Amino acid sequence: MYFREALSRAFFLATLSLVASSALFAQKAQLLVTDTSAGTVTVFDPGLGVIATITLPPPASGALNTIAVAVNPSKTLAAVSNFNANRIDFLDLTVTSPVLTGTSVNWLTVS
Amino acid sequence: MFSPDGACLLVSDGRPSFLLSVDVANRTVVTSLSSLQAQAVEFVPNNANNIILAADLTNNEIHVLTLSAGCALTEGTPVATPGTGPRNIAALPNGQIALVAHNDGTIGVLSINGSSVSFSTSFIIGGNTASAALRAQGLFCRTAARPMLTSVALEMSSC
Repeated sequence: MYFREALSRAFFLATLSLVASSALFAQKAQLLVTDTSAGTVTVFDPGLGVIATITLPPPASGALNTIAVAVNPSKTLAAVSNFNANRIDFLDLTVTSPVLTGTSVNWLTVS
Repeated sequence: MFSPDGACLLVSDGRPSFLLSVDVANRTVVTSLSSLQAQAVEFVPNNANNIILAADLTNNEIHVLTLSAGCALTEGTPVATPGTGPRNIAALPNGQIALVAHNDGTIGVLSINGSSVSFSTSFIIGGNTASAALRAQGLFCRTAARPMLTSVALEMSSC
């Protein structure tokens, strides 16, 4: 039930994260959009031009499902949750074209 | 959702028994709460106790959590909701009021005083608020409900 509900919600609502203007952004990224079925995050500039589309690493089995994205208060880092992979990936927003950065968090390994 | 200082990340996707806190710098899971379901989480701003509210859609409760140094989460006593299916929470900037949207169209008003959280009142906007989005901007509220839409936006600006 919850899985179906979450998927349905994901298809209805492309997950958006509005990002306020910040000098920390190399290219003034304003909007992050996850495509739940493609497993991608697209970064837009203020004019809704595409800065980058990042494809996240696939899970061990099944399809990636990027269900949500959050940006930290200093607007330097984004966290992308992957429903099927039980994983959080991080994007560096300080570089011209945002990229995956550092270690991902996978909670299936939590003891 | 990141904590206001960006040091911690809360992760919940609505599945039962699933709410995590993550230490962002170390990329480690600090707390994994298996005792509750959280459809939505909200940091309460300007709260000395670092209160976090979690909407438990399954059990019709608001969980009151405390975020400690190092991103550890501690559970407090949950609050029963005035409606059925709490789905979304928005805290006002003063940190003294939070609104809870339910699937049955009920909007509950939470009063927050330190670590004390209780529903002071509620009202019904009707319609399907299954995808209700709450946006808190000020101390007062004005509802701009669009009952023909499945996604109802309540914008708190003035009233």
